[in-house]
Amino acid sequence: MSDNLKLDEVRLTLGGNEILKGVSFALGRGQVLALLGPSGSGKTTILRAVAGLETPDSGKIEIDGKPVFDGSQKHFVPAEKRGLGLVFQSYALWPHRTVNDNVAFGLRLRGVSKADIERRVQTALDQLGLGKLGARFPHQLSGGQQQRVAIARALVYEPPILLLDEPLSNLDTKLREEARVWLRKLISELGISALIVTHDQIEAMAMADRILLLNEGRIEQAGTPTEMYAHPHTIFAAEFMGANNRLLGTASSGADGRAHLKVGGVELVGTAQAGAVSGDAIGLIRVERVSVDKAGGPGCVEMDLVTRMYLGDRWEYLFERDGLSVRAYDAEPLADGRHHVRFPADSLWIFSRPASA
Amino acid sequence: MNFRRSTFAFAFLSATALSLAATAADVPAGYPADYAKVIEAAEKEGKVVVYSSTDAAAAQPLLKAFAKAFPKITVEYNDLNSTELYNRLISEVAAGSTGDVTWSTAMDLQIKLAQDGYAMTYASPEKAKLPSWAAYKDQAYGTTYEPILFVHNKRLLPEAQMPKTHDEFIKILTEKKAELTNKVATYDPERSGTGFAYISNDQLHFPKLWDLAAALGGVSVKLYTSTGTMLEKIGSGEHVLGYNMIGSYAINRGKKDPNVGVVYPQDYMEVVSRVMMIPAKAKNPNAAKVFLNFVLSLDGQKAMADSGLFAMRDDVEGEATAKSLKAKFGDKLKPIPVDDTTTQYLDQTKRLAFLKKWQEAVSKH
Amino acid sequence: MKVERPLWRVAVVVGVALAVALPLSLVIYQSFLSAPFFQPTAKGSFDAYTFVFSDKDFWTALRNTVFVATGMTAIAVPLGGILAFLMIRTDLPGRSWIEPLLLSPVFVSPMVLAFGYVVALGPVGFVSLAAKSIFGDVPWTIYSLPAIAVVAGLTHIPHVYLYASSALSSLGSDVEEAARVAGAGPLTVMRRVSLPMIAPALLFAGVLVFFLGFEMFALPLILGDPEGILVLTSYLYKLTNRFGVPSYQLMAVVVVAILAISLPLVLLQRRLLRDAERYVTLKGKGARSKPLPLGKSRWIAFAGVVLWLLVAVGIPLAGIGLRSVVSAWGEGINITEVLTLDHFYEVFDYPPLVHGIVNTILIATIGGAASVAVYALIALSVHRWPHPLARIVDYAVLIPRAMPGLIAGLAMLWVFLFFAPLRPLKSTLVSLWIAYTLVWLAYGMRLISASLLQVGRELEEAGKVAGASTGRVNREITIPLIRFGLMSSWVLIFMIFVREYSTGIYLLGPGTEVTGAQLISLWGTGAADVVSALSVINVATLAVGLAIALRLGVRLR
Repeated sequence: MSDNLKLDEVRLTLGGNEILKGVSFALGRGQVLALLGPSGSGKTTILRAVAGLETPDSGKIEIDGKPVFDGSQKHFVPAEKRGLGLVFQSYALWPHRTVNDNVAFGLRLRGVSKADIERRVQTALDQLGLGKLGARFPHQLSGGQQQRVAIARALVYEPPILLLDEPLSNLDTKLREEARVWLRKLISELGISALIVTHDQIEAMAMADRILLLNEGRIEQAGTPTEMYAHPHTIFAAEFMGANNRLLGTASSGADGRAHLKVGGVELVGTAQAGAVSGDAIGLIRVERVSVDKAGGPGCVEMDLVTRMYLGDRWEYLFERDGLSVRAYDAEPLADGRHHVRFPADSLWIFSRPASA
Repeated sequence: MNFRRSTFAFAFLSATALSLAATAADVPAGYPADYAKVIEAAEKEGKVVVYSSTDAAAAQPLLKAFAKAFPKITVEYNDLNSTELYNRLISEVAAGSTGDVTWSTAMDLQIKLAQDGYAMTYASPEKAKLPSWAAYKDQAYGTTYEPILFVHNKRLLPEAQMPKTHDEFIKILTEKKAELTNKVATYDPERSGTGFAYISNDQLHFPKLWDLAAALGGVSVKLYTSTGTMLEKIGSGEHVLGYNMIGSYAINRGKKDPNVGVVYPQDYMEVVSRVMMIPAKAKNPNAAKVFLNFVLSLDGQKAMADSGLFAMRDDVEGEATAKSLKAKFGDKLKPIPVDDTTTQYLDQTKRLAFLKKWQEAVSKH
Repeated sequence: MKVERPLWRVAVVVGVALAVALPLSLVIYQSFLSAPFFQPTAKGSFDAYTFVFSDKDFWTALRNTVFVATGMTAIAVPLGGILAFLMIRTDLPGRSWIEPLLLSPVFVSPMVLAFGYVVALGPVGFVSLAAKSIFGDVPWTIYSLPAIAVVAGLTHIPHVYLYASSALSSLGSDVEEAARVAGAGPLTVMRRVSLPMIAPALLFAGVLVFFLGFEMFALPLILGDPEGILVLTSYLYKLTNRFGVPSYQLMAVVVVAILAISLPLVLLQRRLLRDAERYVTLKGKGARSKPLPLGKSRWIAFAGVVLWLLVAVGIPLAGIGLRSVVSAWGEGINITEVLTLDHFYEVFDYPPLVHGIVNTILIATIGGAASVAVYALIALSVHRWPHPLARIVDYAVLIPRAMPGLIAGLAMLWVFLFFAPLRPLKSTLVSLWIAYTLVWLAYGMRLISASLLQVGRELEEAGKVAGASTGRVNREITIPLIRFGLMSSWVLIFMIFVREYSTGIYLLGPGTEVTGAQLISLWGTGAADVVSALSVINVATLAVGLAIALRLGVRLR
């Protein structure tokens, strides 16, 4: 019984649309799980179903081994009885209450004594670096401070699971990166379980122990960040998890799990995904895996440099040849003209192309 | 201390004695001896609930006089229009209990209530003082004697030019057709029950009624549902001539508004009467009897004259009284009797036939 | 399984349904009888339907009613939308003092307005006479069907304004800014962006106005009287007189006919409301928008608004005001010679009129607050409750308003008479309060739910997740968040109750006199001078109430 949270074949329809088409997963104690996916994939709906804000049609949800929803038993525990902590995307701070009152609300509901409330609210605020802001109203705080108040409010009554809905999306880029680190540190220090909804794969990889990639109401792939990044099982997972070059061509099978991909007038060697590949195919290679080789050699293609962009820590280049076009990074500035561009066979994933792609 | 107490006791005793004396003295001459008991019971009931289509303002003198005569009986005066009054009464009777007195300008509806068994049979001791046409089976009593008049705007249509008879009324409508077009007002018998009563009653006294209707149509007569609007518009000059107007309202209006004048028709003059009855299911029947009797009494009728509602008893002197009207117009006065004939037009076929005739006459020009 | 069904929500829904169904079912039941339902002679019958539907006057009245309702909707909706745009989005001059005046046409009794129009714009009205001295003739008539539609349209603009302005202010101004950047002038922005964006709210208001057109009574009664113009409500009068005695079954049939037209509208309105909710973009933070500069044309717009206020309120109120201080008026009368304050003394001479004034204030202030509390309870009970039962309330609340006030009043009397638990309340102000609350249910609910729509769903969900029950969330989060909305609803209900005139007529009696209904019965007996003085007092009560509210910082939107 080490799972904090368990979902079993959860299905959910909203306004006639099937949002969740059978979702099952478990969240281990002390684990951070990211629900990742594009908008409309159902990630927020899962979070809301766990919180008790949406009622699934069928399936089962357990928290700490106790069912909070069971479609077959017609059993439903309302949100207020689940004892979870939820940080909303908008933070949803109550504008008519001070920071103190916002944070204290959950404790008051639990009948904690006045003195204890005061102490615990102060501890929570201190922990989040909001020590002196207790008397302020939400609109008097910056975005980052509001986010911390929202987290303090969700944590103060020590819920078994912390649910976070796109916690960083309302912060600007700079602040977001800092908050990412800070949030990860906070969660591991407190040793609680957390379920984080995000649409940003970098955020997911940075903060989560495990990632659940969702696509149209189904789990596309689940795994650790490294597994997800390095070994995507599907085109969708491969495309979602990183920045890729997308090469459309025709494939023919080779030996040892290799495959050949013909794009325009160029033939590349890559790794065949999901068994043998032939016919219409799609090749995916992470932008950072494409490199420029001074000498050339196996796996290299001579291509024309078309465009360059300076990114500060490196350069980004666009190469083209015979209908093949790829992006690549290099630390060095390159001269105009032809260059040897290397496509490592292990990094070029070749998938059969579904009719629609 | 002792002295004060005895003073107090004396005061108390004398007050009781006085009130006893007052009660005894209150039984008016001609009333049965046991009327004291009725008064006593009425005072015990303490109030009388009146449903009336006479607005509270006009009824003020009457109510004040009653309060003076019977300080222990408060009047709950409900100001309703005649249709509302009828609706309320029959609904409440069906539900169990209702007001104690109904007093309405809609003679037909009051008689209809009596015919349908809603009225208490009670012979008022004042009955003898009333004209014979004014009492209906000891159930409903006429209380006023209000002439139906011609009304005009004195500035725009001077009295000298005003018709004095119904024939002359037709004449002015035809002779001054251009000037009077859109300038004449009367009740719409199709939309107003009182208006219907007046014009349908005209048939009995005026054989040329349908010529009059045609003449009214000729000047595109404006048809109204309420006295208020018509008097206001005659006062302002929007209209200059009004036919079949309730005299009491018009005369009172003329006292305030120098533009409004009235003409008493010389050939015949309809007289209407506000009808009062006690519902069989009255909650305070004794107070109701005392109130009814007071309204019919000399004092009550004097108050009626004071408010310009025209007292119907011949022993009341003054301007707004039957006596002064009779002195001037004698047998030209044609009171609509408080009897079964008032409800003849509640028969649907008869009513629709009359309305059809009216409509044809008015639209033929 | 899908949605829970807490007992208190169910109880409130059942309560509302009952309160609406009781009078309604009485009316429907009555329409199928041959005599008043409470009389033993009553038998089941379709005769009433046969009679009414074969009556020429019914169809005339229906045609006229549709004409007036359509006309007033066609006038009120665009003008109300434009007005809202000008007030909310632009730098129209004088917005701060125009705002409290905007709603005035709603709150002045239509009875008062109509009479005011007669005194001012009638054939010998003071404005007409002035026009006559210039043009040699009065270039208009107010006793016609189009005139009734125009007057009704102009006086119903505030209804549209209320909905349009609240929709506009919850709409992000970025969409308008985007249009301006793309090169659109204010007029184009309004026509192409702002008003289409709030189309659901405008449609909703349009349906409401159309609806009110069916229920309208005083305006066609007074302006249509001389020409005998029939609308459905005045047809009810005529029906009564057709037989000499009131025929409830016939009146009931007319009401059923009105309901048959308005119920589909209710369904439509419900749909529109759902769409309107989709447009609500305000979440936690509302971005303050900058007013759109109108440039020189703002003075043209200003003149338009002032002209409207003048025609819709200024002139009739001036008419009533003038009438209240003169003993005579009309062609050839020198006003200075007839000035008097007697009418006001008269009002204060008659105790029932004074009681009426006091009761009106009581029922509007205390009663108004209680009604807002009731509306809030109902609104909260269906708030964020996706159960089918919640929809019943949406439909139900609009029904009482669809009945003409007089009939609603009669039905209320029946309810108080024949529904034993309510009987003791019959001749108390409580009965009047219940009737008012019921008849204005739709309006009040709309005010409250407009406020509720502004509350971000997540603010409430945050409370639930933190462990608060629905009741607790309502008490500690939702209600405090809409407290300003509740305050302004109270003010609006106060004003509606002060002017209400038809609902209470059958419940009136000593102790329950209210000015609005007294005006109607006084008008019938020709006491126009007292009527005008009482009207002035009525309007003054409104103005004072509004002034106090504004002083205390209540915002009307």
